[in-house]
Amino acid sequence: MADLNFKKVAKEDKQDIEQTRRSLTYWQDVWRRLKNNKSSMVGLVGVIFIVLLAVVGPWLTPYDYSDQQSDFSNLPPRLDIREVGDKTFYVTRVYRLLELQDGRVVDRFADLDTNVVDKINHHAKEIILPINVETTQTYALPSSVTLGADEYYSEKWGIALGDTTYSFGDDAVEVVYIHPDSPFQNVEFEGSPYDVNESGYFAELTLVDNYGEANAEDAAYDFDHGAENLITALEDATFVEEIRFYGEEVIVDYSYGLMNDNMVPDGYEDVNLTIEYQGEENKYVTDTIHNKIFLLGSDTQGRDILTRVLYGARISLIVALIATVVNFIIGVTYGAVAGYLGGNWDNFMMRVVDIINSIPLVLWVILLMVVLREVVIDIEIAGRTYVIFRGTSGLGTIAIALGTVYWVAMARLVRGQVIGLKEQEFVLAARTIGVSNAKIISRHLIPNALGPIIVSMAMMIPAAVFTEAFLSFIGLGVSAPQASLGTLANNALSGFQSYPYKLFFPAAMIALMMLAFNFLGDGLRDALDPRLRKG
Amino acid sequence: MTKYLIKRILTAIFTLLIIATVTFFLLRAIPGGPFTREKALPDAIIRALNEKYNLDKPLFFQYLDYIKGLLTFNLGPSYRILGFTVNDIIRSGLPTSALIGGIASALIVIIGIPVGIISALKQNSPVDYFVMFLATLGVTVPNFIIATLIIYIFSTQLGWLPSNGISNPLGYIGPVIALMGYSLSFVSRLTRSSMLEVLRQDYVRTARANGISERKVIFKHALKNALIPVITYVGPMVAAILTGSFVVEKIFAVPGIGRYFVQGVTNRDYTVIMGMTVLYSAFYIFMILLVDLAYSWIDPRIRLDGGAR
Repeated sequence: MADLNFKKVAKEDKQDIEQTRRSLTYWQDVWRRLKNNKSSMVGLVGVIFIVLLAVVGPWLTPYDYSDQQSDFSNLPPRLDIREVGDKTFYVTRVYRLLELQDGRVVDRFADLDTNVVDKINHHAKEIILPINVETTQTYALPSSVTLGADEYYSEKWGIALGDTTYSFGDDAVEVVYIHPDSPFQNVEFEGSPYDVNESGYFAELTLVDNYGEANAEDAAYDFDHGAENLITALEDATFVEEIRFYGEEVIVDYSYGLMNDNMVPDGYEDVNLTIEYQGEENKYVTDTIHNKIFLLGSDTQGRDILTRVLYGARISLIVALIATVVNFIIGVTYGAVAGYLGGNWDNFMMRVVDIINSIPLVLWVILLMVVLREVVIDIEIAGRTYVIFRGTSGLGTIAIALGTVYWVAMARLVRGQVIGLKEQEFVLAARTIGVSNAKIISRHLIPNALGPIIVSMAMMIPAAVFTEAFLSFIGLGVSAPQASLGTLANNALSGFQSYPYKLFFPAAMIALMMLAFNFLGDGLRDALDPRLRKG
Repeated sequence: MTKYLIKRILTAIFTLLIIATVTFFLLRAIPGGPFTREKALPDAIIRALNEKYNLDKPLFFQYLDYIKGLLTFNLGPSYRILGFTVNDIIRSGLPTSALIGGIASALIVIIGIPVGIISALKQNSPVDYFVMFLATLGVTVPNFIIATLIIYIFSTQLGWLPSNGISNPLGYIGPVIALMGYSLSFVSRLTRSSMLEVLRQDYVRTARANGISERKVIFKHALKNALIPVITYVGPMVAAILTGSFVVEKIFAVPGIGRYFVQGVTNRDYTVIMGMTVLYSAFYIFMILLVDLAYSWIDPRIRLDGGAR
């Protein structure tokens, strides 16, 4: 008889053979899948980074988003400096001389004094005015205007100015225009779009855009001899500025850049301006350095663009977040109720959704914004008025407008999920032990449909950022001095040709946000609902 | 089929009526009228203006008037652009917007779908990565930034394109590209992903196993099904593009219809806002209807009359 010598196997050995693996919950599994997806992790890191920047960033910069330092307006992130003697100067595009030390401005000097430039700018801006100011009206302006010629020419500056009368329907409009070759067109036209007609002259952009209503102040300008007067003033003008500081003299001569080509003296052909200080004359930019007062430059009112961009990102994110939450609450409730009740209720509620779905939503948001900004809802109780809702052009309004419009897709999605889930046994079990309908929806159905809901919410955030930027862009966004990224981009547009950096940074921030949220959203979709996975 | 069409058209009209009604009452809920100015007009003038535009009648009668006008395609006078009716405004702006939009839509379909297909067929190749990189960029950069960049690079720096207006045929290039940006990227991404999904399906494998040429498999069997989500997107997109993008028209100073809507919004020109809303909605609904009809043409399994969708 063989000696059967059975031995007890140690517990560890047994487990090794069974090949057990710690079971993962749904959410752990989602996290595992998300971690394996490279682009979504990039998105996640990006989102965290952007949120941190938006939340903490504005406190870390030395300025507030509304701090104005008008002396230092329109400084680019990189400054073209001129070193003369022992000082360093920077000349702004509007002919303002600043003294710099280590990239910081230490002193500023008065603007160009005999300001013919300003004079021209002033008139150029207000070129088009209805003569008859009493009947103010908005003109539907044509895309191009044909101008007659009655012009005055200054050989010294190579500038031609003209007066002409143009009629819009019944109204005569006096136009002063400047020859396109004139050096003055670069001076503070702020890069707005202007219209060049066949004869090669341009009239100011307000023409193209819609001037709006003129006021009596503008009408004070003497149109009859506008161009003639300006030319006479120009012929006498010099663009030399003498500044004294600390007992020393700085002479800035702006004439060369403005002069007609054949009037420029030898050796100054490509010189814009000269600075004379301590007997030295500087003709060219000597170096380009980083702007250390405003890392990303400053805007028209001398506000720090870095702070504004970070703050704008915060506003955009808050709007997107509130909109998503509102969208979540309405959409999920509506969809879950419709799906759970079923039958006629479902039919009716889904027809309503169908109708809303066939409305162009962007238009609807615009309409809602227009209304919500101004509407005041109040009730009168016992002779006293209580205001329930006061429309503002603040954050809340835009978030509500977005949230109340875009819930339709969410409602459809939740309804579909709920219809599938409500027939399952666990719902039946809950019902048999007498759980109320509201509780079944909120405790059993919605948590089980959470995956697709989260995906939809993640996709809603970039969409809301986009829409908000668009709304701000057409002037329906948050009101000044607050500014979202869209507002910043819109404000930068008017001076874009001269100051492209003002548009670049907000635009880059929007693009980064979109990219990060889209990547994360795609990753979440793949992780939460592998069935939806797309190539 | 006819029954279905009639039903759909009736629903569309009903929807439009609801949109017009809600828009009307929403706009009237705003305090202040179209004649509220910063510098207040004399009472007599306001009264005269209100009388002229029937704004002194009870709200309900104004509403009836408006609906009556709508049914006869008369959208009423503009309150702010004097001497113009909303119909005039649409007539002057719509052709331009539609032309630019038409070119953009056509290009989106002509470029976007083939690019998406190529990208799907060469999945994970450099071509695919390049296309997807561009497409992702296109979806993330708002069109006003694309538009500004076009002006900056091609008009200001290089001087190839006019910076605004469309008096020169070259002037169309900028607006068209800016309008296309987002949708072109979206369409090529959508085509790519739905093509990939269809190519993985059994019937495609069967077709290949039967020895049908690859070209036939792709164009005859796979493409039709892959196009369904694309068409769902393209329909409403065409409506949105044809009726003019507010932003692009503003930046390029195109005398299209989008500009008037934005102006109407800022000027509180009620009739213009309502007119544009109704026009735009009608177009949108029409495109959705077209999409639904296209479904059954592409995929006979989708039955229109009755049946589950």
